[in-house]
Amino acid sequence: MRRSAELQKFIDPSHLEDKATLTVDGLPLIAVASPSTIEELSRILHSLFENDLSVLVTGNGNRLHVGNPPTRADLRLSTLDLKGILEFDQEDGVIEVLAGTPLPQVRNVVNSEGWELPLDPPGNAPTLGGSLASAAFGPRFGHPRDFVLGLGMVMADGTQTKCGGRVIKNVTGYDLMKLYLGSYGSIGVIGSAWLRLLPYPESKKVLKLSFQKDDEGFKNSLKASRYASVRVACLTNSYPILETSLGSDSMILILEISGDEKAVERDFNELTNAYRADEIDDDVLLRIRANQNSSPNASDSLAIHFRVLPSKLPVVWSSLNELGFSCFSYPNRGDLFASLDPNRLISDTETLVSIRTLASDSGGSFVLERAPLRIKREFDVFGTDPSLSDITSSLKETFDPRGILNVGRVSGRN
Amino acid sequence: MKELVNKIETIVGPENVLANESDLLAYEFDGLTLFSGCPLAVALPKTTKEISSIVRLCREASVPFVPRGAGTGLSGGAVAIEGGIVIECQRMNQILKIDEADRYAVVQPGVVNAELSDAVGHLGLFYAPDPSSQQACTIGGNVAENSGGPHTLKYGTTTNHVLELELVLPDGEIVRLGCPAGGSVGFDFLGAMVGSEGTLGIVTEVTVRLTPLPEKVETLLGVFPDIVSACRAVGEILCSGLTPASLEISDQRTIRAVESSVYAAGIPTDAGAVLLIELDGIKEAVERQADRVSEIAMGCGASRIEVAKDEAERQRFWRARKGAFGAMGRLAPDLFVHDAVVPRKHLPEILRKICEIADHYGITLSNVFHAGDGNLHPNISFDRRDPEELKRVIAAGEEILRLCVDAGGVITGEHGIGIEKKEYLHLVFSESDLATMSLLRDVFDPGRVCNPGKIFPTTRFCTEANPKARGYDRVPFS
Repeated sequence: MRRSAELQKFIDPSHLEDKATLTVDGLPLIAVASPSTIEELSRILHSLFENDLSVLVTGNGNRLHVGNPPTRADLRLSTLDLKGILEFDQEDGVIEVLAGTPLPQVRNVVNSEGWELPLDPPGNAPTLGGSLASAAFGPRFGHPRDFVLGLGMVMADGTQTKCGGRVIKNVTGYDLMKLYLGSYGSIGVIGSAWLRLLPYPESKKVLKLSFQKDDEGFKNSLKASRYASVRVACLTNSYPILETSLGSDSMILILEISGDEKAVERDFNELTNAYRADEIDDDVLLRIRANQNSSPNASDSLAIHFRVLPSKLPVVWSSLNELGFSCFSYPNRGDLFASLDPNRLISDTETLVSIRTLASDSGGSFVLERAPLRIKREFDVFGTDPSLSDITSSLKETFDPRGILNVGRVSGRN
Repeated sequence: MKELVNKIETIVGPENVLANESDLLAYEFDGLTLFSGCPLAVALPKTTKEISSIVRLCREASVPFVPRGAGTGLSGGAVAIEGGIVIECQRMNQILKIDEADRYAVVQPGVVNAELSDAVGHLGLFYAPDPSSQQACTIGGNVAENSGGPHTLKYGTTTNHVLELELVLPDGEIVRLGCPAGGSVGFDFLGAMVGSEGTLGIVTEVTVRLTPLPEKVETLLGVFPDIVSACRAVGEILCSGLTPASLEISDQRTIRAVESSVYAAGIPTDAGAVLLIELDGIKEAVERQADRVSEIAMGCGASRIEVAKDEAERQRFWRARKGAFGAMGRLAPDLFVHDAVVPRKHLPEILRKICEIADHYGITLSNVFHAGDGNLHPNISFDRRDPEELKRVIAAGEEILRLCVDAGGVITGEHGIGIEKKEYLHLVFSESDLATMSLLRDVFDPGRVCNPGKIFPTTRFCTEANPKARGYDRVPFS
């Protein structure tokens, strides 16, 4: 931890200030550098690189709870001043945005022109850069990898580079974008991105379907969530989402169906005929998104994001219930979010290892998104396949040779 | 080197190694006949372990190796330009698992693309990436090239459909990336591997997503007086909020070549261009969208719209599109299939300029392309035995690529860089961009033994139309 006064010989003081201490997994940070252009970002990183100063890169901080504890960081590098829409091509439905731009701002601009931004992560005004760096997603659109066309990056030494482009089909050179998305700023800092937009749907409806919490219920909920016009499918028995309590043997499937008016109409009729279904207000989607972030203020709670094969959801869900977790899922994608109340906290990492095995046995993966520091110190929240640990370390060392970017945060504590 | 070949024979059996001159001739090219490279030998392994052992041997002997599928690639990616061992994966051609409930399949790399869709069609599923060569190309090759196809507009390219990979790294290690449920934890190596043109490892098993077959498919053929009005229709269809499965344009020269070939589909040869439109999805929606699309096309100057009455007619329309490259064999002995992408809104202007470039260089050029993606395929018909014509072909091609990049586009949308475009990569990327890409190569293949001579330029900033600099002078003229 350093104060801005100590760093002024390295960084232009006009972009540097002390802020209220932000503690990330036990590491306090006071000094914050806030570049407002890519060039400034480049200059700051170059200076830090030359002087062996390390940074923790942040957007609006919505995903700071995800990651292994940082092992070093002299200051925080905030992208919040690096904001703005650089180009919006309304004919082609693509947009170039600076990393610190809040997504709601981008959403407003594109919606007004009949386009939809295919990023809907939870949180308070998440920034584009933070969302992409943490591969954050929400109930509607899934992982951002399918919608990012190009990235403007600033590497650890300050070098500005780009990958991809602005066109929707592109195999020109290596697809480095995939590596940067979800790398939590550990191998480069996202400065800007070209995104592909989707046509704004002509029609939308939100439905609530009720099921018994048994194998048949899971089977039917998956079947319903696979209707062609379903865009959001959320299976839950959670109070915060439903604002009402359910019996332990019941589940609710919330569906948003959208797209062509005729398609929505037909799916609506079929779903309401086939299941116990009611049309409900779309406010529920906001609660689903908020719930995905799993008690953001409870630093001692435990939250896990699973991705499993949809057919394995019942067994994973039941196993987690037995351990005291409450769950909700996007069944058509195989996403399952599980959280544990602080007073029922797992105290041993062996249980977490067995839960991770449950995920891999279910054809999927597991990230411990939130946990008390003592657990995170013992347990790699991402885990690393031993056969990939050399490549993972090598990538980090090659792209960040002096180890200054978000050190210790990612897979393998790199 | 004889010793290395002998050791490979002990791994795969002598019957699975080709090393005599006549056998190797078939491996000097891939789908791009402008470049040749004769390998030392071709190994035909049947297992991942055999590939791993061959790779270890090559690495120990500092001999390069080149992975190869069906050899249908169009950028020279499977050509042993620096010699070495070609590792052909076509004998690893089994579909290992089909999971109907979770909609995925596990295949070996030598499985032919179209055969997978055939195998799962009875379950109401298909494998969405459909490159034009899908009757021959293999899924391993598709992964290496991140192949697209006419339905990319709605369904995406290979990278959107690969869930897990098993591969042999350039040091012989066998690793798995991703998982059947999709998504990745840690760095997304799987994402970086797809489209890396066989330079970071050899894919030995692929888990792919299967997509539900659409309930209804409607295929329309719009006849336009010229290519500019067809392009305008594409822009207006997409701006209307529709996302068709395909929007494909063929120009008049292509139509005429097709109509005088076995792929003839009854398209009027005086048409300036045709636009093939495919819509799929829920029946009621598709029928309504077909009406809207027809209305837009007519408003943009189409003289008529034909709607395929049945599957046979749909296949007739598609035969004219997918057979276009074959039909061009009637125009000249050789065909240089270019591949570039531009922002869609620039299509009319770019196509007009491409015609001007063709006229300027006095070359025979036709256009058949994925208009919805902005993915152009200017095809130059020529005779490589005429060195003067070859020079003009290369110069025109380079000018077209520059034009596309200047419009905000890129130099390849689906064929890859390979050998063909490596000296043009700097048109799109700076030295720093390329150096960063090179870092990834350092992580996986620091010794540059895995498919060397591909993607990365060797003559940076040397862009003049010089056949010798690009190696075209080594093209056999017989």
